[in-house]
Amino acid sequence: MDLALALAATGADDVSDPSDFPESFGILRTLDRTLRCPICKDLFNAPVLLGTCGHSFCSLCIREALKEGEKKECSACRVPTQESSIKKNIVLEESVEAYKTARSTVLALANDTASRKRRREDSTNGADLTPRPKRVKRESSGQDVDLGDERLEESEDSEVEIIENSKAPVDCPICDQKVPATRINAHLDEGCPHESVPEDKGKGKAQWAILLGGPGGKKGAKGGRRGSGRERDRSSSPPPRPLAKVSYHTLSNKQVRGLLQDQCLSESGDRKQWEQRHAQWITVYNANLDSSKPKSVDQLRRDLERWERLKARDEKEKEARVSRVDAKGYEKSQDEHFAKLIAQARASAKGNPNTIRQGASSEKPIEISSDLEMEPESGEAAQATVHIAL
Amino acid sequence: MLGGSKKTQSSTALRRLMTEYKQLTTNGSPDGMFTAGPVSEDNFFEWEALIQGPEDTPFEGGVFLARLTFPTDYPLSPFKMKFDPPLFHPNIYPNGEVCISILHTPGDDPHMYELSSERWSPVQSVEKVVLSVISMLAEPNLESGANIDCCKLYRENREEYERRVRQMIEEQLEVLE
Ligand SMILES: [Zn+2]
Ligand SMILES: [Zn+2]
Ligand SMILES: [Zn+2]
Repeated sequence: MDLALALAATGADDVSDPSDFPESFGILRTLDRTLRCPICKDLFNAPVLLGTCGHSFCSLCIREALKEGEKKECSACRVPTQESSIKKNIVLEESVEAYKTARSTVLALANDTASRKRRREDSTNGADLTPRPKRVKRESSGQDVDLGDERLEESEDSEVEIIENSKAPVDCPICDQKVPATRINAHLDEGCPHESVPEDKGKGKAQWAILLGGPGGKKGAKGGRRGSGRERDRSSSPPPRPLAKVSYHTLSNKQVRGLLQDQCLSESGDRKQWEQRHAQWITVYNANLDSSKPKSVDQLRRDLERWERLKARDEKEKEARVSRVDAKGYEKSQDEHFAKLIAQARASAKGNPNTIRQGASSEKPIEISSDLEMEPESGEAAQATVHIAL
Repeated sequence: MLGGSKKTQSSTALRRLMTEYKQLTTNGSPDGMFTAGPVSEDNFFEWEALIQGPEDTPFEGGVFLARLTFPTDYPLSPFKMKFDPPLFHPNIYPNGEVCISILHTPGDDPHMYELSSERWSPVQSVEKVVLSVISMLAEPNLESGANIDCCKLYRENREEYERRVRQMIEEQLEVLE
């Protein structure tokens, strides 16, 4: 099958990864890899840092991971953590944004250099050992190292800052408000009253303006819940705070609907869907606060609707597939391919251990089921097309 | 162009799977020990892997097919892995399902003694899991047995265990001829 087509069909044709860079540019592959979230493997999107261990993820990725697990731990190193340890990673975001802008150019240059080098080697049969690519390599490797170091230092710095600066406000683990560190115990004892904390200077009020008047801005939806919505109603124009999590099992249906109404979310579906919708809303809403270019709340609501549609689609397709796969008995088409491997295995048993190794690595299971309509070299063809598609 | 507006058109799970597949296709697996990919183009949540029996083990010379079934919230939850046909191995259930700590979430723990450090987390991947399974083929973990008879045999009569494994490989080759 054609990978590029398949990607396009799923809407994932912009999937990128470090191996987009030619093999001879290992340094660029490394650079590309360090700017990717270890959870989604995409370039960081609104990256955040876990203050507890220093690992970085997309805000949405780590928030979903923390939502899922019963144990709250860093997905990378498993050090216990919690949502309140999530901090914006501003320098990383700037680096990634700059890199996203530069990537296609860098990729084109690298591909160009690599193919020119290949052509030259073809013509001179490798006699001339390429002074030019070498120069490019050194330059890029310099950049690579610099960027890496800068990023590391920065994340260490901010971690130290978080720990040492006891005057800095801390996030209340219950209501997620910023509370002066000196007042946090009293705040908890008093059952989370509204706290006024001097805002970070230079936060860029204008940037937040689009978010204001969003959730919580809608007054009058009284549902008898202690909710973070109340505090926001009162405040005139501070940056929006993260929404607090909700334990749905203690709430009545009416109260859960009230929560949805508060956030102007759809009340369609059953109770389970309401809870999932609201929980996901809290996650995407809070993740959006970590982006330096936050989306409007309306856009977030549309994203949430799409998320629900995709989720429903994936689940439905998955069910359909299970029965389809069983029905068509695709094992049949496999046998032929499998027999090939077995023949190789036999050959290797007869004393050539390398046959199987090479044989197996050049075969892709994906080719098996579509054997009928495919030319033998499609594995390579698919890779080539991907390059172009990117 | 990158990670831009198009990003939301496919679910996170699908994108992750496509990325992993793309990477496996481009780079291959270490030493070409296995291949893995979706079963068909309209089915990215069902993969299969072809795994070579590791050298210097009774599994050497065999090629084993495993089905990988991904949940829609992958990679938050792990996938399932099932050998088809089943393998005779202490950590593989008689129905072929693999029992290995890296495919268990910290919350779902059939064997209390599994270290949480070895369990699933969203940063794991198909490649890491399959490599763990390959090393499990070489070195069974008797503490979390899935095939009791096989565990017993492995402990009490290693020679017979190895003979059974080789016999199984022979039979699988014959059946599929
Ligand atoms: Zn991510
Ligand atoms: Zn960590
Ligand atoms: Zn509080």
